[in-house]
Amino acid sequence: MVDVTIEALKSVKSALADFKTETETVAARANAASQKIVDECRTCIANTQGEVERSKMTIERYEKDVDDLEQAIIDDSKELDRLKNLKTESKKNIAELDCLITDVRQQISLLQAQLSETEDEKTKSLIQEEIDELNSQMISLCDKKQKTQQLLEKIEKKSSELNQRIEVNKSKKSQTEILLEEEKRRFEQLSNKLSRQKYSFTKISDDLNEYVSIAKRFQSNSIDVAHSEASAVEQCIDSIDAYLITSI
Amino acid sequence: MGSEWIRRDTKDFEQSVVRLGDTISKASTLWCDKKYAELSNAVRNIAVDSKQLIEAGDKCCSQIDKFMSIAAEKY
Repeated sequence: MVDVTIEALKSVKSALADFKTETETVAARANAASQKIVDECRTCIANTQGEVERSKMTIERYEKDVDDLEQAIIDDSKELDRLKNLKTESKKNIAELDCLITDVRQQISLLQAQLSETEDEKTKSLIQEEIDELNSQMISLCDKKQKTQQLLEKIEKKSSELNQRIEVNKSKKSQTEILLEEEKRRFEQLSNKLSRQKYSFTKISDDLNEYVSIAKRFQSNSIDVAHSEASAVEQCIDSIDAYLITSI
Repeated sequence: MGSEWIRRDTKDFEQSVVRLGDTISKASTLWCDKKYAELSNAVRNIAVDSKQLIEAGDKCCSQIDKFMSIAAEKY
């Protein structure tokens, strides 16, 4: 009966010693875990903060793109209006030149008729000079007309290009505005996520401080208990050993 | 990740308390006197205190999990 009791005491002593060893690092482990978690949370928050900042930059870039496209549309529209006026003016010029050419052509025809009917050499010479002058005017007018027609073609080509560019820019602007709205929504969501993370982190910090504090208190108390109880058990073992020796 | 460190520590710690309690409890069949009652009472107090530590750890884990759940949100 006495031997069994000594075994019981020894197992208790051993269990107390093991417990003491196992709990000696409770506070240090809690502290290390707490620090790791705090670092990890800070990294997560920094990542979200980075995402928020990148989203903000994306929004600014989209806003600039929309403004630039809008300005390009305005500029091209103004240029298109200017070309429209120029086109009207050029058409008017061509019509006027056509009239002049017709008029000169008629004058030449009349003069050529007069020339064929005139026998007087001096008169013939004067008429011919006039015809030559009119022919020269005709060449000049035709040249002007050709140049104006070429200008009109250039205006039409340029107008077509501008119209096309305006449509492309309108489409780009519309797409960018959609992306901008999406990014604004994303920015709001990320900002909200960041706020919630920061709030959650303050709660984690409080809870971790409490956890570490309890761990320290527990470690101190339990080591004291384990130590004093192990000592008490040691004394019991010693007493029983002494009793057994006396009995023998 | 995150709460796993605390979960692992509190689990190890809980097992230490359980092992101690079991050993003391087993000893009761072979050791019945006032000193055992004192020892048993002291270990009971450790168990009560340990519950507080485990609960504090659980509270941390719960909060960390919430944080990580927010951190995992993709936009």
